[in-house]
Amino acid sequence: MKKLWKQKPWLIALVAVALFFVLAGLTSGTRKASTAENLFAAAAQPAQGFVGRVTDAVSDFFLRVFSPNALGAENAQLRARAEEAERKALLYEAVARENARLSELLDYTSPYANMRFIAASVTARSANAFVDTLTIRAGSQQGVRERMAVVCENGLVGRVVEVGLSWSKVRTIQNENMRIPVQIERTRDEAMLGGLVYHQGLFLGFQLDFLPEDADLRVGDVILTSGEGDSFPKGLVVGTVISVTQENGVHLATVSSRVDFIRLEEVLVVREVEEPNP
Amino acid sequence: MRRVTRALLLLCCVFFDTAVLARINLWGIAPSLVFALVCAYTLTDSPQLGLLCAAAGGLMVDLLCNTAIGLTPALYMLALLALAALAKRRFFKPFFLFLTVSALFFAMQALLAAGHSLLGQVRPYGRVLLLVQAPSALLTGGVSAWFYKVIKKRNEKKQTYEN
Repeated sequence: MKKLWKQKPWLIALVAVALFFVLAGLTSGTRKASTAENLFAAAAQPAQGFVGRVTDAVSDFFLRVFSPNALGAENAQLRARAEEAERKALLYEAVARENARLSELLDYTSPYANMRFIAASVTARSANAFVDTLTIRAGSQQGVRERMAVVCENGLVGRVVEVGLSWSKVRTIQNENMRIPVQIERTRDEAMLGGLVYHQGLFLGFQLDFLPEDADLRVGDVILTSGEGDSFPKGLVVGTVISVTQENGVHLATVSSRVDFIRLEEVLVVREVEEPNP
Repeated sequence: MRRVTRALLLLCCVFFDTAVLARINLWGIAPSLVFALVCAYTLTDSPQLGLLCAAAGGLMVDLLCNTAIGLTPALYMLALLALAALAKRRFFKPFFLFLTVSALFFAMQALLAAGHSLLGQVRPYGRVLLLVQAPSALLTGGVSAWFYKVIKKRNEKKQTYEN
């Protein structure tokens, strides 16, 4: 074997290439991580986390030095949002109390009641422009399972596709194969989100398909997951409608997500808790 | 000692690619340090070493951040086989290496894009290839030529010292 490797490396290399392609085919779906993957990730994660933190610190420093105006504007925007959030929080407390009272009267169970979240930091991103995968620092030990939804403060991020002991890989909703049953928050009309919309090569958002003919869709409408099928839990924010057109009676809408997939640092894995049977 | 240095350098490149360049880049344009390094190894040391490092480096990249494990090392190894075949013609200078590695990296990305298009995905791959992958390929070629120069210099220094 050693002799063959020295004399005809291309032969062994071609066999290895074929085996790698087979391996890629076998590992492309949703699955649990193997022991070898877990061992490698456990060894690499501390270093990767450290490199990630240093990178964030360096990029923040350069951002502060080279674009103080942008930071100032962001600061003002954040201050305004904080003030608005405070006002909303006061209103929310009263509404929440009223909601709890009315829900009790109607014997209604909220879709959020059985949701728990697992916080995780993003440790790596796919280095390839054609793949949309994030690696997060939470795995089966923290309660993460395959196909769990992943969100951040700005909305839906994606779905867990591979779970290791202390890490998981998340396929983001920017993947073309992702189809998400959704609901328009204002009208409760249901539709399917999927397919990416580009304009002159720039990513605009997601396409909204299968809208009812009489759907009253407006720019600014909030889109939530509908919980249909075995996809995502109900009620997760996906994005807002940024454009609506109608062609031959068919609605064409584009939904924009507020999630910054490139700068994402922390995410929450949604863990649905089974209600104990009474 | 030399093996440990090589392995450490490869590991550094893997971490840099997956944790640093995936965060800090301009519109997605970033070189692939792992690919640049294995191309340089193929020419400064031997195709066998390049192929071995390509398999290990590509596998590590896939394990750290991709879901289809094996695709990156397979593509890296195919590109290195082409590079090794070209290197036999002995016209290699850093400038040719820059051009060849850029072309190979671009071809690899085009292959990936073609694969995705065949699977029925709808991104404007032509535009992504032109605006993101072409500059990334040039950067990768440049880094590879620099790696080649540095490693060759070090090898020559070591040989002089040993003699």
